[in-house]
Amino acid sequence: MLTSRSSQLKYGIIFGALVVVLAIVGLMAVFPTATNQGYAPEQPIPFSHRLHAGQYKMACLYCHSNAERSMHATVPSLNICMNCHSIVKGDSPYIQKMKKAFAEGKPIEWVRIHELPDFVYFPHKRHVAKGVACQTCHGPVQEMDRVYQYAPLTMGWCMECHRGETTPRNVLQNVYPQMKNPQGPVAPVNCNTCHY
Amino acid sequence: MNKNSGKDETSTFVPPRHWLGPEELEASYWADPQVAEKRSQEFYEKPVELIDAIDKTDTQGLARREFLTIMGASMAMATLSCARRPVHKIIPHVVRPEEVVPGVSSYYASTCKECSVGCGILTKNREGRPIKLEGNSEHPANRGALCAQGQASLLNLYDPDRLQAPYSKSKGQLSGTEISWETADAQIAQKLKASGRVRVLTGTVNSPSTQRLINEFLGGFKDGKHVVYDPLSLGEISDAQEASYGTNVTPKYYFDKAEFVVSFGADFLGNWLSPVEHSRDWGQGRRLDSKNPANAALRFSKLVVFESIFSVTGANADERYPVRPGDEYRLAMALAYELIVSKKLSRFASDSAVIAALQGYKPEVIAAEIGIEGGAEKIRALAEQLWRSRGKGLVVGGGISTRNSSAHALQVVVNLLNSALENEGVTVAGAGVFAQPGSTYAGLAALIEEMRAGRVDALIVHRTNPAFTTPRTATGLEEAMKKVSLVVSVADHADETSRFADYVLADHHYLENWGDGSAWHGVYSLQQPAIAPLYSTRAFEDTLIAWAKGAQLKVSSRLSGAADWHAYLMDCWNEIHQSEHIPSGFQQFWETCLRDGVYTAKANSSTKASARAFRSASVSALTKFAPAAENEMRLALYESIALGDGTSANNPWLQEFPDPISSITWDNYLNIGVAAAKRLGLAENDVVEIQSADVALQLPVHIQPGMHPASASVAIGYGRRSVGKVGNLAGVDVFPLVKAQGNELVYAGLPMALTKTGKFYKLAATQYHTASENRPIINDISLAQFIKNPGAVNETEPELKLKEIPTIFPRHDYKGYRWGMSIDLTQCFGCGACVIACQAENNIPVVGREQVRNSRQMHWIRIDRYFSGTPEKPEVVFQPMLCQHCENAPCETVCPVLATVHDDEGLNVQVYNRCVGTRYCQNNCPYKVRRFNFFDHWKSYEGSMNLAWNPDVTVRSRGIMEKCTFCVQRIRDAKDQAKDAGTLVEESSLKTACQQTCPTDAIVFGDINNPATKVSHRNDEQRTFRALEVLNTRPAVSYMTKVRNVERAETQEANEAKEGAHS
Amino acid sequence: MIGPQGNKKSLGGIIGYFDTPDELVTAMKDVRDARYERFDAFTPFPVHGLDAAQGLRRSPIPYITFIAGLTGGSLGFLLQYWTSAVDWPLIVAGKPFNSWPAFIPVTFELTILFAGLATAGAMLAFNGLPNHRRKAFDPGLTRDKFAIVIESPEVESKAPGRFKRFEESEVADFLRKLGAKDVAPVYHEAWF
Repeated sequence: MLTSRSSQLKYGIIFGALVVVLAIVGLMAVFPTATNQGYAPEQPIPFSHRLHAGQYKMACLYCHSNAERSMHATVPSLNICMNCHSIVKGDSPYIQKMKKAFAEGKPIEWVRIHELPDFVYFPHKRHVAKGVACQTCHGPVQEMDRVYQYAPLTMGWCMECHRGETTPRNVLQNVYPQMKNPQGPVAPVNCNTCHY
Repeated sequence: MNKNSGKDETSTFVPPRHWLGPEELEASYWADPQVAEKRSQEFYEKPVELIDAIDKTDTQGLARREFLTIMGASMAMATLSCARRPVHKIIPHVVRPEEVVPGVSSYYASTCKECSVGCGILTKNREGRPIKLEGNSEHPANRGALCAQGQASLLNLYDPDRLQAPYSKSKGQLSGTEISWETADAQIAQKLKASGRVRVLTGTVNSPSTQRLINEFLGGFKDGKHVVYDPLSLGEISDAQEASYGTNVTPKYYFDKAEFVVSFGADFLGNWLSPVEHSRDWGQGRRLDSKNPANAALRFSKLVVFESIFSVTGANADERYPVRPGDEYRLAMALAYELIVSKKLSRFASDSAVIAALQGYKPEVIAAEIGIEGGAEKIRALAEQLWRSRGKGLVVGGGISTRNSSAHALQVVVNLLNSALENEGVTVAGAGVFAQPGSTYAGLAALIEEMRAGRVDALIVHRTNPAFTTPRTATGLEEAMKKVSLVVSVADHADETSRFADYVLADHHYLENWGDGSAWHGVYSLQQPAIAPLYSTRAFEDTLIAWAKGAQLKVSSRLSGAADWHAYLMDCWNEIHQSEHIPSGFQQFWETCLRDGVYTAKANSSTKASARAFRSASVSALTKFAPAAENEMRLALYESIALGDGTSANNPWLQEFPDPISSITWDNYLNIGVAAAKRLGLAENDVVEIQSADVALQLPVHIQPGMHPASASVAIGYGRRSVGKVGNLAGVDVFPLVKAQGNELVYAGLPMALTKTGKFYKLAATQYHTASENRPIINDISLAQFIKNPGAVNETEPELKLKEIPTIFPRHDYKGYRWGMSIDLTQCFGCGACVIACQAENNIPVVGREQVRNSRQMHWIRIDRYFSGTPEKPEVVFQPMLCQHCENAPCETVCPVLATVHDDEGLNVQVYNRCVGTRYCQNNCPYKVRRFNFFDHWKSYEGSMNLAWNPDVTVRSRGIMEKCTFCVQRIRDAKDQAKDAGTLVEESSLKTACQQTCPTDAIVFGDINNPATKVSHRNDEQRTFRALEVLNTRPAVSYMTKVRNVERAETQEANEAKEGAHS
Repeated sequence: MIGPQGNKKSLGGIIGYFDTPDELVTAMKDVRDARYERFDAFTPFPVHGLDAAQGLRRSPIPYITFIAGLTGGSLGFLLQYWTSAVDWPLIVAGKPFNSWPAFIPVTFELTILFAGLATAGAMLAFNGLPNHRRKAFDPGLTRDKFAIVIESPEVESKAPGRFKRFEESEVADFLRKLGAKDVAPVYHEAWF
């Protein structure tokens, strides 16, 4: 033998450690960190934003009207869908499924995609009022057939905008006139801005 | 800082000026090494004692082994499972109601029905359910404030032990078989049809419409009668009013117009008649302005209290005299004697009937037998003072703790005094009255007699629980009920009385029901449902309507034609609409009233009332003088601020609410004075057996400074046998001690024999969990001192108020909003409404008796109660203590992960998700206001109780520190609305939960960067100081020294000169 | 060369054992002057004068320690300063953002940490550790024996002119002449 037992042991340990390191790195690369970015679950009704918001150019706030009134943007209630679909495309099986649910008084149980933990309070109303476009955070929804989570929605990602690093220009124009400290962040960065 | 730390053994012991308990006045206490060790610990209880508690599995904490296995398992699972979160659904409405925006609160006006007053409230609704109650500022009685019981009544709605469906059973059994409403109606209606003699037994009905409905329902029977039994109702007042003035009403009291108030046992700030209204009014008379101190001499009221218990009103008295239970009457008579017979003042001086009735009640005799400090001189001085402020004074009396055979006579002499002093018509008026007169036991006694004689065919019980609130065996209630063929109980819990019913029908909670209320004649408030009924419950009124139809009773057309209770109510209000000649149509009137919550008639009783003529014939009711019994121990029963008569004993917020005087939670206890305890050899937490008549009970003892040596007291409402998991057997049921004397129930002056059992029961008191190490945290001065120098004491106590000390770094500049708070200790009377309001608003959990014993109660704001003076005659100062949001916060420096920092508006922020549970911040906080979640207390909110959480506030799990946030969610909301409108936040639109509910506006919150706000004005006052200012923490919360209306200026200065620098 | 076990072996060097440290030092001077390329001494305890006799330079480790310490300190301070005063200023207990007294503990700790780690690392590096190839071939060497070993170069010398060429017998004689009581060859394989 060229190598003795002790050297075998040595090589063995190095090799083993390398395998473990590779495994960890590999798994971390394959399984994303817990941001749910890219999450695109199947919905009970395959509602296509590309069709409604993209092709027909319906305003986001028409359906998600609570986004400018409340913390929660909310998924639209069935009566908003029925505004059009009581007449439009009645032959589609999905529309019929929706009409049946509406008649029975049962809501559609959508699968939630964008969800922040319980200790975070995100007010849609304030962001909409400042002129932040829906696409800034939710991505090109008007091109999505099936909605996926576009942004990581991590705190660091939020802070980048609040600090003025990735803030859209139109928002900066809204914000600058009133800012307490022009060199400072463009939006509040206190801990209790979101965590209370 | 503790000047008694033993450094200089030769110095004489000087007792601390403000003390928590009488033991602190003894030199031996401070010299005890065990005590020194205990006080040197940051927190009183050693965690070692908890190991046993942890190892037992209970719902609130995990056993240690369990915890480790779960930790291990979850770690393994976390590494094995995929990284995505579990699938969550998001479910919108089918048709969203226009006014329901998820995430936005809507407010509905309603009426609180927790007690019999009927204060107007606003329910804050989120997604179709109420999460917070607030006082309705439009309602003339409470004007925006709400008491602790009212705030807690929200949780009763979500009580998982509520009855959820009607059931039928046999008498004597607790449970039965569930039946449907239709079946119940059919069976009961059939039986009612065959009944001629029907009795409806209810608690106080303060709803004119409900009263009318009951009357009309009973009109359909041959012999129908409505009997009211409410142990807390003061029927003796209205009976005496009838005798003295000819009107059977409960009068309206104007404490804001009274400059001199004498109370004979009436706890008007606590729970006598309408406490929120009274305390609001009383607070008006105690306002001070440092810029015009002399004005205070003209306007600042004075309160003198004679009582046998230690009540909140007594704690706020300028002069308080402990008496024996039942002595209040004798004192009132002595006062009347002094005024009318000795001094020959008032128009009764020539009234022979009155003079004859007063004979024998000489002040010297009475004062001597009771032991009044100052003796007869005091009574004479009192009479003089009352006469000087005639027309602007007020004499009140009564309450459960005075209820004995002289209760009626006490009220008559109070009427006599008020008439003699020309207060009648000014500070007390018969025109402004409660909607209903009070009730006494007489009604129930007659009913029991009827039932026993078999003269009742059907009994319907609603909102009253006589099987618990009367001495069961003595009254013979249970046997009597067994003789009634049909007994129906319409209740929200399976209580003690429903045990003897045939049918138990589940009642709505008041937040699920329509109705109305009337705080006084001419004020009508509406009650509307804030939530669809959670269970298969039905309103009592709807039940009566259903039976009227089902039994085909011959009733009025309004009742027989009513579709349901809602329609009936609208019909009743239509009459108001007609009688008031309101120009708009009824529908508009109705909707306006629903929106406002209250309608005040043009001719209502706040308008000027004229003095009624006193009927001298009523003095014949006054008991003749007889020498008092010897000074043996006598017992008084009283209602606690938390539980009242025990109806809400299953409410954990109320059970854990620390009593303002004793700070004890979860139990009732026997209050005994310091001298009596020494004489009997009793110590705190000893268990004694008391025997009164032929009833023996065991109770833990609480040494209460300020009790008469021959007086003991204990609270009713505890020890219920069937109310739910929380309330069952919490405390001891003392109703069996009540003496039934014919038509009367005697609660006060019960003779008592006391024997020690040698047992020990640790009462869960919260006051002794923190100690300020004799640092000057609080102070009080007399009115004379204030007038001479509004900054008195703040300047003379060098360590109370900090002069400028140099800082080693410059202070941060807080531009924009800067939030601060000011608490006026003269206005704070210790009711504790702020404690429950904060608990409701901020999702503060309940921890249970065991954890309270371990000092782990979670209240973010607590009312610290300090005594001063002697243990026999103490004075009380209340100090609400909450997170001071210090500018130089000691807690922020020591957090290793910066979970607590300051925001740029002056708030000390606690970031729950960042906190790792080091607890160094709690250690470092000098005010000890930080609360740590040792367990997952939120898990104890089972089932429907989870609906009570406020969604705007994070629910904290185990291992997280929490504390007052100045209601940051409300600040956020107010700023949101201001930004929408493009303005700055207005003072009126932003109130913290504690500020919002305070009846006297003791707490004021606002922007201290804005010199125009109320809080800025208060901070400029000379009376203002900051707690523990010497530590240079720079709190954002300031306090204003309590001012008492006592003649003490000379002794005050003398004391200060003697003590020199006070530590 | 065939070693005792019959395999082919290559010579690592010649080792000479001395009895006393003084003899060792004296001999070392001559070995140094003889200008062999690789030689070393083995002693059970540090011997005064041996470093000079061997011609060892002063270790550069202190400079490394100093530089590493400075790095650590400035890194620590800069980290705290940047996070507290530049990147995300948070008001903590009213202290200014650049509250240098509060930064002292971390700065100190990082100074010590970097300096300590660098010192240990540099020491290992300069000693060629971990060295899997060189092993103790004689257990008595660091126990109770004093020895000088002159090694035969494994690779071609970088500056062949500067050093005296290694000749096995010459070196052995040389060592015996210098006073070595025992002279033995050391094989590369034996170093394992």
